Amino acid sequence: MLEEKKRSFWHYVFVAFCWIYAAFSLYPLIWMLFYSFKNNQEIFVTNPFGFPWPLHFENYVTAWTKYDVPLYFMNSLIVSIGTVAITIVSALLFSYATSRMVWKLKTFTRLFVGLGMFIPVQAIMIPVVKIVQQFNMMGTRWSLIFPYVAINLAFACMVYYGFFKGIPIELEEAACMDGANIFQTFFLIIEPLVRPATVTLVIYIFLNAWNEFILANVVVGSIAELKTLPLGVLFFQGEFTTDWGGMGATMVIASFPAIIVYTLFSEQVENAMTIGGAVKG
Amino acid sequence: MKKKLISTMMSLTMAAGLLAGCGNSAATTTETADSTASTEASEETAEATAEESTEEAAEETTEETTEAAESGDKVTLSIYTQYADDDTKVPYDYAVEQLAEAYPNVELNLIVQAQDDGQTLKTLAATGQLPDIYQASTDLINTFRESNQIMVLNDVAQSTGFLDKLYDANKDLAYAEDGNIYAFPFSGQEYVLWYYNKQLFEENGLEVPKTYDDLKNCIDTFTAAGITPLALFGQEGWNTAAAYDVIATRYAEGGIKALDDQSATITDQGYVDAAKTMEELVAAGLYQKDATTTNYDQASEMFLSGNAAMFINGQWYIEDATKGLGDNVDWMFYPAADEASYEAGKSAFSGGGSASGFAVNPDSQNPELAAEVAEFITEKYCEAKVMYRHNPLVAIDTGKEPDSEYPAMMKKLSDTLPSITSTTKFTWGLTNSTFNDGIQSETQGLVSGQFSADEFIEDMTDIMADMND
Amino acid sequence: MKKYMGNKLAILLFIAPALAIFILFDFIPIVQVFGYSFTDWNGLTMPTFTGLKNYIKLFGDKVFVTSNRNQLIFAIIITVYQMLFATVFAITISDKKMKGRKFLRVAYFIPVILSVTVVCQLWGSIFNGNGLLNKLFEAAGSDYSQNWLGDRYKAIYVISFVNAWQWMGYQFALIVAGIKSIPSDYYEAAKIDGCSNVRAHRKITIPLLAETYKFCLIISVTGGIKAFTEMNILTGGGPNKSTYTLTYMMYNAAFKKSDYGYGLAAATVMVLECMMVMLLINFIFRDKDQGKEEEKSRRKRNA
Repeated sequence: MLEEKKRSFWHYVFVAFCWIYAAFSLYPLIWMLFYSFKNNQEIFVTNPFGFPWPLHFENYVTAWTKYDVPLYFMNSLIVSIGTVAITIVSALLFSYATSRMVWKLKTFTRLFVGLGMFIPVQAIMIPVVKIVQQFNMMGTRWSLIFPYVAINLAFACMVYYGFFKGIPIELEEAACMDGANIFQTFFLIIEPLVRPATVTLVIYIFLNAWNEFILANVVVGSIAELKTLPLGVLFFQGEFTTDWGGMGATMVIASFPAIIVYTLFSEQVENAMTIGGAVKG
Repeated sequence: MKKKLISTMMSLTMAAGLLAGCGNSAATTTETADSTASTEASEETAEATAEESTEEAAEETTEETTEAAESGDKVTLSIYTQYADDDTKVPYDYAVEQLAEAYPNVELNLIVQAQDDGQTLKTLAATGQLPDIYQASTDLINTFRESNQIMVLNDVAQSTGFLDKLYDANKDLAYAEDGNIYAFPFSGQEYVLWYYNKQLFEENGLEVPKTYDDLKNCIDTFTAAGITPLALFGQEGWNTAAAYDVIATRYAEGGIKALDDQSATITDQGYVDAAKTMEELVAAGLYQKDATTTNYDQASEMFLSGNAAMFINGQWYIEDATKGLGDNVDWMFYPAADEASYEAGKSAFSGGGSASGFAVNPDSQNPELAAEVAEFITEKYCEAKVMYRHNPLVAIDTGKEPDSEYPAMMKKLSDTLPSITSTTKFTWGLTNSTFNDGIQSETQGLVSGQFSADEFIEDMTDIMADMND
Repeated sequence: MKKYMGNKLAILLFIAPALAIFILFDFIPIVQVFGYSFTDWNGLTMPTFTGLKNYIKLFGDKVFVTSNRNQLIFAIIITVYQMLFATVFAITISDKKMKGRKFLRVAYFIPVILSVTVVCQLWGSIFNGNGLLNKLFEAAGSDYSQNWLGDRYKAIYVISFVNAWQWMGYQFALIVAGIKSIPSDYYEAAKIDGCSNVRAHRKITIPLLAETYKFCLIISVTGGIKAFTEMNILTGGGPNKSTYTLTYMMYNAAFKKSDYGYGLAAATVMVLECMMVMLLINFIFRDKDQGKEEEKSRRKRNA
């Protein structure tokens, strides 16, 4: 057909570019893996980019023995899942109300919450920790979950807002005619439509919570039972010297589960999106 | 209304259903309020340290803590300190081991110090979660003094015999400006050493430079041979400040310390000359091109692998340098403008001690016990540093011997010590934080080669005008 | 219909959780930050009110000018880079004829998954004096090797690139998700009308995703204004604070100099800048196209 003819030279150049860029995006994974098997001398002088040889497996041994990896891992998991669940539910509801429902002050409310996107964590850290204390959340996982929700909330609301705006009003009208109440309409008809956005947000928020360091260090840094994975790097950073290989191993331990989950999950993503499309069609 | 909002919020979040178990409050740090050191523990301390003065301490402790003595409950003290490399891990592990014998009912909950400019500790302080014992720098001591979050340790220092063991030369490290003791220092006087690779100098037919002209000659030879003359870790401001200080002290003995206590100003001729000299040396290529983004490990590896001929670091690096380069490494007296000032400058070193060490949170559940333990740990740190790190430059007289001979460079330094008449400070010993921040970043500018000496003097003048604000 | 979409109870229930969390953990702290920016405060003792002193000092600070310049450069670079590549790749991936599209989609997103520390370590070693890039130039016989991260004026461009590279994947994912939500009959109709693929996307995808783009624009620009982590790891703000931003100023003042009040003044200015940008973008993109039509038809039906 018409398109077949257009597969010209430039088309192939473009495809090649897409693949080279993809290679560039994947390279850090390999680099990080190599890095985690090297010692400082190899990382900085003798072999910064090549295959690590000999393999310094001891980096993993140190990482594994220096702190309780399974415990930190579980803590990270619980906190991240908690953060994602609360953020998604509250952002979804909030954005629906501010984008599609009819009431005064909705633009103001939306922009007001949008403010949250611009606050550097370091600036509000002290007040936030004080509030966490006032609610007696210290020593529980809520002490991390609520501040994390607050950090991600504004962003999630803005993403959802964009997606809700794109849905035609006829859907609600039809639902209304059919006698569904607003809650039914929302949960059964509208929510499935924004699943593609939900999926990207779940991943994004999960990773934010998973990788967060500053607040975690202040809030649970002294409570062994609640420490999260990013705090593991502390065991490698001295005042002057850092065990970069050991840190690499820690980073691999911390991020590869996330990568594996994402790669597996991305198949689900595809499915979720098709379901969303089917409803609409 | 608000209440309703919150309850709605809570019920919704519960409904999310995914969070089973989140609400379970994990046991917070074991804070058994009723117990402190038992009598036996104190007696064992006396045995363990085998110092006359400790006996008094033991008696005193007994009096103070008799009521708690019966309950054999474990006391957990939280401690915020460094624990990453051998220099920090070896002393800590040794101290914990010794503590288990001396205070069997005390357990330490280690909170590893983050390299974050005190951000974590300051936030913990601001929110009332300060650990029982924490490692405090001069800057933190000054800040926490104002907010009464650091305990006065005068009595404990007396009763535990710490003051008796403290070397005379280090007395000033224990006392803050107001004459009180707020932290038990474990490091003694420390010095900035200008390390060099003897082998590289010999191979290239070079003598140890005495003057800046000699140094420029070395720079040219090394550069031509593809060797970095001096590896600086300029991502850390203290190293660039030290690089400036080793030059500044050749012109004005007080170096950055005199600027910090405002007995000198940056526009004094010596400091201007030093800036100009540094500018010239940078232009000649003394430091590697990307010095300002080089971290410690990178620079150190360059030096240890023979890719760089010189290195500027504290005397604590002697151990690592000797391990890496054996007999091929030595330190030199800092070069100066001419031979006369080189000789004269041999007695003036950059670096010095800093009022810092283990401090105690006065709001701790067991402040007295925490203070004693802090003192105990400090002593053990010093012992471990002498015995296992071969560093005799600790705060107190430990009476311990190293487990092997001191490295040659340490002997040379010990021999030089008596003739040293003047020292300055490391940046962490500076008292004015505005100046401290300024000198670190401005010297980094000089090292980058993109900020001129005039710009440096001009900016520093502004910063120093701001110091008392 | 108006009554249906204006269900007071539903609105209240919908906005309550988000609003409560926001007010407690964001808004109250922000108000406090704003208040403390008018004081002399070290973070621990009682603050003393000093009026506008911190702000006057801030506006006269040399680093303030550098910071704003850096934020502007940062914002422009990441906006252009991310929106351009994200759109191109998203459209490519959405073309069902593209081979390996599933693989590519995962690949482009990988940098987002990595922590900023890992990404900065990687690029730091590439841009290093003896790093990969300079070695490539040497191998190619070019003397273009540079002190990438240590340059007073150029380092900020390199840092911006690193950030743009890492977060492009997220905008990409958003746009892909957006394209998925466009009914495929739109494209089929365009094809029947003889539109080329590129043209179809220009006419359909981009206008329909206006809200997504508006959002991408906001996160890019404000991301530039509040940049901090990349500088902190790659250059430490150096040489001599030439890669500072307002957030960095805040961090430095609050924690290195124990001058919280001054730091919070910098943070306040930063937040105000972000707000202004957000309002400006909202104003430029104000619902001129579909919003009004919707409103009109809604009114018509209600009447």
